Amino acid sequence: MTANVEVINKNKVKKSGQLRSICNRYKRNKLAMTGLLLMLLLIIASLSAHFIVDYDNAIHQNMEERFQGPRSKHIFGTDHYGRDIFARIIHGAKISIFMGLFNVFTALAIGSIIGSVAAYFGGYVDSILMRLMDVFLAVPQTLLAISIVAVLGQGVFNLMIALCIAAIPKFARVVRSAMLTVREQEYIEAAKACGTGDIRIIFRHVMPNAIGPIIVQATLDMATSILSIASLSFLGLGIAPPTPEWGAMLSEGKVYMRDYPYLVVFPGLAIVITVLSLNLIGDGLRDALDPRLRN
Amino acid sequence: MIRYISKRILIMIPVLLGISFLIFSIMSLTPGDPALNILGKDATPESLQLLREEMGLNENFLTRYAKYMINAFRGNFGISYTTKTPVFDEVFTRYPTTLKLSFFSVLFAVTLGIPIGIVSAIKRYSLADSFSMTGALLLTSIPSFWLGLMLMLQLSLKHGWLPSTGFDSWKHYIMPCITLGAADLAILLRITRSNMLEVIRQDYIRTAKAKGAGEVRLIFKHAFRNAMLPIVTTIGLTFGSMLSGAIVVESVFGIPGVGTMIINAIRAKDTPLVMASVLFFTVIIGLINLLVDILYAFIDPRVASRYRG
Repeated sequence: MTANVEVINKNKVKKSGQLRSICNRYKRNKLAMTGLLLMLLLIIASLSAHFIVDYDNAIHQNMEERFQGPRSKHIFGTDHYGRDIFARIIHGAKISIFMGLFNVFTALAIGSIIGSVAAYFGGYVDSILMRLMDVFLAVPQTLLAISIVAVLGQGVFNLMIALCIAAIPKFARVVRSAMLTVREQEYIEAAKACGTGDIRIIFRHVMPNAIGPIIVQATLDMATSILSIASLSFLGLGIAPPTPEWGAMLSEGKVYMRDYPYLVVFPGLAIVITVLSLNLIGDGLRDALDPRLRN
Repeated sequence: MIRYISKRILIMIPVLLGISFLIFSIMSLTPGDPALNILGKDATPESLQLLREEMGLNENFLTRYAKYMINAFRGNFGISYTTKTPVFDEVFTRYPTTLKLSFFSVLFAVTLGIPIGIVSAIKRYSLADSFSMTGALLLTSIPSFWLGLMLMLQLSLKHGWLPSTGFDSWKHYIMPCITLGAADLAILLRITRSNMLEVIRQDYIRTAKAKGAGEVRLIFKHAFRNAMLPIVTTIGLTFGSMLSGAIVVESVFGIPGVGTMIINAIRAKDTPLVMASVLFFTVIIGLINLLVDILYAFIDPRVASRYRG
């Protein structure tokens, strides 16, 4: 099985020297590699959250142990209900990361369809779709998400719908402009002149060249959506307690932060590290995909 | 130029109509009865029915929307369901606070971001450059509400240097403006740096240097003026993100601006108030973008000649 995968990978790399040079450029970027490593650690931690620490510690109230400062038994301390903050952060990672991923993939899928349809058909279809996207873009993303959540009501699912709707227009624009830029290139004309079919042109020539900016946008947008999930939960419009969520933890801890500052320090650090590693990956990818942009 | 400006203002109308329709439909087509919200759970069915009739809630959706828009054009945005005062007054008493907060935050971001960006570009790969780039990276990754909480913890709760909530004296402005401006400072810093680097490479900079232009003159007269266009665009966009960021920052510091009003209005399902605030937000962002485009003409003669043509 592993051998097979290796063979496939080898073939892939051999075939496209471009992919290999992108990987090499990415690997040389220390900051980007740090970001990738941090993200992998976070993903592993969130996948194995149940093995690291019991979910019960994250939600079970234990009034006898409330406001225990950081020490060996509770390395990040406990909150006003005596719940272990480390457990809540680890289980919170699962929520933030998977909601972020889900949000980006859905928005990307829908945005890609809208963007490609607009770019492919042009003319009236393009104008109408893009003006519609402009309407959504004219409302600040957070405000749009807040209005949608407020109307649909609190909850994980509604939050995801709201963030997804708010993120679609950006993807539609990026996909459209990437498609339009590539379409005008000479190598597409050359491929057409050689008698290459439409489908082959789209998948073999347009897609690989247009996908760079889209991947970068997706990585950076995942950072944005994790921030938005936390912001909305902080405002009390996102994920409702007692579910462990970083933004909601900050909102709860805020009340007691004068006496117990660790309540707001650790969840905030978790958000910063997650968002930072995604930003590092996004920047690294952008530089690796287009070295001309690098300053 | 005037033709261009009027054309841009005309383009804003369909966008505003679209947004108002979007928000109006979101707010009206979802469950929840404003009449019940106003009168409370103990209201009799008759009084509910009467109030619904009075508020025009029984008419169909499109008629309600059309009526709302006609009134809005006359400057009448309806009566707030919660405070029972005209929405227009409500929004206008709160707007100055949010605009002041955003303005000073932009000012903070600009006065620090641009000079540091220029220095970073000139002293590329120096210690100062790596330091400011790392700082910028960190600032873009820190959520504003956490930065606000940390500042509050250190500067007001621990040392008592600054007041933690409210918005009265200049001291109240410091923490919220830093909190709101931090991320945009980082963005401006990066944009300034990368554009300066781009411009410094150009032939005309080498020519100016060869002709003996001094360093200061070279940087400000020759390089910075040419790097300014994308920077101005970013400042314009920044203002838009500030206004929405204000919602979060206002709630952290308990500032009585539009942000806190929107959150409360949304919770109370106060449709007229939400509609008016979001519309005002959009109008202001649209106007700022227009202002930025007009500014281009003053910065770049090439753009000015295009407007004339």
